Amino acid sequence: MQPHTDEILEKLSGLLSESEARFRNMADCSPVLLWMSRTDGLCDFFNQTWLDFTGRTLDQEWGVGWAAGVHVLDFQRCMDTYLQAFNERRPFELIYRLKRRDGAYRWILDRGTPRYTGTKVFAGFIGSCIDITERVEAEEKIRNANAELEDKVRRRTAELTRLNGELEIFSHGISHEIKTPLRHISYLAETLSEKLKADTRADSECLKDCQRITEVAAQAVTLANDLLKFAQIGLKELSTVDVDMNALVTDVIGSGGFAIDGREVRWRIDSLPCTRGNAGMLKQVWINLIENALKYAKPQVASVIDIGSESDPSGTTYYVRDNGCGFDMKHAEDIFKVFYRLGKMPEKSGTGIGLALVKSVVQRHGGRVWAESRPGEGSAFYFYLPKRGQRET
Amino acid sequence: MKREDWLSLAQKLDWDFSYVDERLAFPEALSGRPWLGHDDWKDWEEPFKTSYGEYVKTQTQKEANVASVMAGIATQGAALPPEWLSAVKLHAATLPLAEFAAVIGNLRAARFGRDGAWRTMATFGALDECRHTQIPLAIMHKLTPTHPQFDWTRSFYHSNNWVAIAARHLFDELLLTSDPIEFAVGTNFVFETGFTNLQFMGLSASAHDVGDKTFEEMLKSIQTDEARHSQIGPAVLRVLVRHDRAYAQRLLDKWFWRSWLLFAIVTGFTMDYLTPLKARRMSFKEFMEEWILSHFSRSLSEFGLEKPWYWDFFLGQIENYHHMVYLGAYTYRASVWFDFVMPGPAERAWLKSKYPQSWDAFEPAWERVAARWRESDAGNDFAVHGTAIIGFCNMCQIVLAAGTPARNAACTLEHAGRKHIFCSEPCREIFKREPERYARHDDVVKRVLKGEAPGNLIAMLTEYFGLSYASWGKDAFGGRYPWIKRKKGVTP
Repeated sequence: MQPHTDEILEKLSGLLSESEARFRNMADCSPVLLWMSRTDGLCDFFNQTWLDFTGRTLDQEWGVGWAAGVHVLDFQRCMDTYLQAFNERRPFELIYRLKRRDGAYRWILDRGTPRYTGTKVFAGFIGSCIDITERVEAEEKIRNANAELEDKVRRRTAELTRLNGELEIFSHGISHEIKTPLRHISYLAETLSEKLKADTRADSECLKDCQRITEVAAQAVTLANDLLKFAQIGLKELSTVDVDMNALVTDVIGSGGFAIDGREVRWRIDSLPCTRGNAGMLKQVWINLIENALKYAKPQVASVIDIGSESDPSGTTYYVRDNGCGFDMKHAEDIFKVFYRLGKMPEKSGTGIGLALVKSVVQRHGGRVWAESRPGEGSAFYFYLPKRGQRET
Repeated sequence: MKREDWLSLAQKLDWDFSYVDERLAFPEALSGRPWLGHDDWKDWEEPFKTSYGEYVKTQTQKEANVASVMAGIATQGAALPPEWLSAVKLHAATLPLAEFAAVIGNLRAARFGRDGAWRTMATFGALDECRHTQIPLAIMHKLTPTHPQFDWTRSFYHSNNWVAIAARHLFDELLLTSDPIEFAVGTNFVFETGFTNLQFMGLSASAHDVGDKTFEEMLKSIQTDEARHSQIGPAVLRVLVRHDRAYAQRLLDKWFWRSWLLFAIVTGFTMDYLTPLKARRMSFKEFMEEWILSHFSRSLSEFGLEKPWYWDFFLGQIENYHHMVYLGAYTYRASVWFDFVMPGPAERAWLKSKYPQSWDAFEPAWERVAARWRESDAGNDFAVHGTAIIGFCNMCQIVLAAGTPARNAACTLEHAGRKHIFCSEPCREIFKREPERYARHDDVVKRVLKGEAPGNLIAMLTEYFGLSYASWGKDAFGGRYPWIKRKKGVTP
């Protein structure tokens, strides 16, 4: 019996040491950091990868020595989590900073799990760690960027709210504080004209000056109205409906009221797709663009106004094209600015707000405007409206 | 010839200086304040009146006694209860090198003491302190191979361990820099006639009951020396009180408080926690009542001195302070070099009977510690241990553990734009009287904030406190107490 048992024992012991050696070999070659603790929570195994990472010896890491390399701000959480999970025999996942051999702290994802002997007796914990610094830093960057963006938006919103408030006061100023005295001037000038007409002694020059005052005052009222409209685009809540652009254009042309000096006007109007938007504001866009095309017509030449559109899956570009005087493309951006007027053509000058108003309305709808032209060869004004509005309904 | 027949011939030998100014021979900066002419010191007298011959004879006998118990030390050490060994480790580290620093204090008096009799006694005192350094070093050296924590006998004062910082903070000032008058009041009178009596009388009795012959013999051997040279204290104090009572009172107030804190820990821990229950004769409080409240305060009134101004607070602290520190230290035991025991039901019943006014407040805290051990595996000390860095007093450098469990006595003071924190009002007052002396002494937390010490607890223990797993404090039984019913599945 005896020799037989010895043989088995020897064989078993050989197998055991081989299995142990195989484990060590695998553990040391593993790219992850491995550790093992005993039933008293003290770690008595770290693979070569761990030791290479921390640059410390097994003696230094032994027990709780490894925790000396944990970042001071993570230390308590790290110990508490490990020891709590240990007492509860519960797997844990822990992220902390561990000092690398070069002194740099690296973010480590440490996963630990209880281990048991063949007879189901608790034997301690085993854990594996990977360096997740890149991931943590990327997340950190995104978090920072988002926070920064939110902060920026918050600051801008506050600034805009403030500016809007000022603008509202300003608009109110225009409509009441300026328009009222202008109307008064206009009324007084008209009264004076009546009186002058009745007075035979009156100088005809005086009468002309008086009428001129009335005209200028009327122009000033128009300017004030335009400015008010312009200012209010940004202030008003944008209530949107489905807008039939054909109906709008027909309505605008039909209502007339454009100064065409008896010229012949040939309209070429395509069928226009509907859009989602504020009907009142979009009508103003058409009024201003059409008015603009007629205003800058060549003298003694029949005006040809093309109105049309081009659609793509994302939205529609509408345009108004004329055969008028055109302009130099170097002004293509400026003409959409408030009070910017082309050329020295006082007879053609409006208030200088029309195109700025167009741009403002279109932008409010999430679109954009632009123009193409060559001096003497007419102009084309485009505005693009995205389909988004339609989808939103 | 009998000593009484001839010693007076050899005792008073100073002549009057004719060719040098007395102030040059004994400058105030070295001899101490108030500076008095020799006329005021010439009646200086102490009761022992030891001759050199007697000194040599007695010391030879005592050395022989110590040597006889030292032979069996290594085997005896192994048989002692672990908690008692822990008490020995606590003394082994704090005692010998402090005694060696006291050599300097004694030698200063041996040269600059104002009377020949004083200087003779101080010379013997210096020799005593050399012995008191060497005896424990020799004894503990024998224990180190089997108990590595005894290595701290020599290395303790060379470390930045928080207890060592506190001890050096006390002894650097008391033993190394104080002048002979302050040394006589602080060391000889307060420390030696007051507290070391308590320490050596009480502890040697405990050592006897535990069966620690070596420690008992060592303590007795030291105690008889201390009893002799401590008599310098009352003799100097008598003259001092006559000439500057207020200064005497101030020195007393300061050194009584500072000595109390040290002894509350070293002696309080030992008597109430580290001595096995069956070997305890009296509680720390009872020793305090007998040796300090009764003997010492009686001698104060004989000198015409008042009890220190914080006396009422101090009386409350006798009930609480060492219990507070022990509880705190137990939960941070890896920060020191000796092991701790958890008081069980029997110990707690004893403590309650000895501290009826205060113990109830400590009961729930120990219950929590025990509950934590109940669900932790044996030997897993860190499962029942703090992980954060704790606060220290900017004066005594000990943890902020004064007051009661319900009401910590910590307080603060702004000085020169810096905020300082103190464990108690007396510590703050000592600081306030001499801020220029103490303001730059950074406690452990300030050192961490300055980047001089690591904030990670394990790094602090290993890299700054000079400890390792082998040497740091653990539960002496790894949490294995017969009275703890461990949770199912927990490693026994």
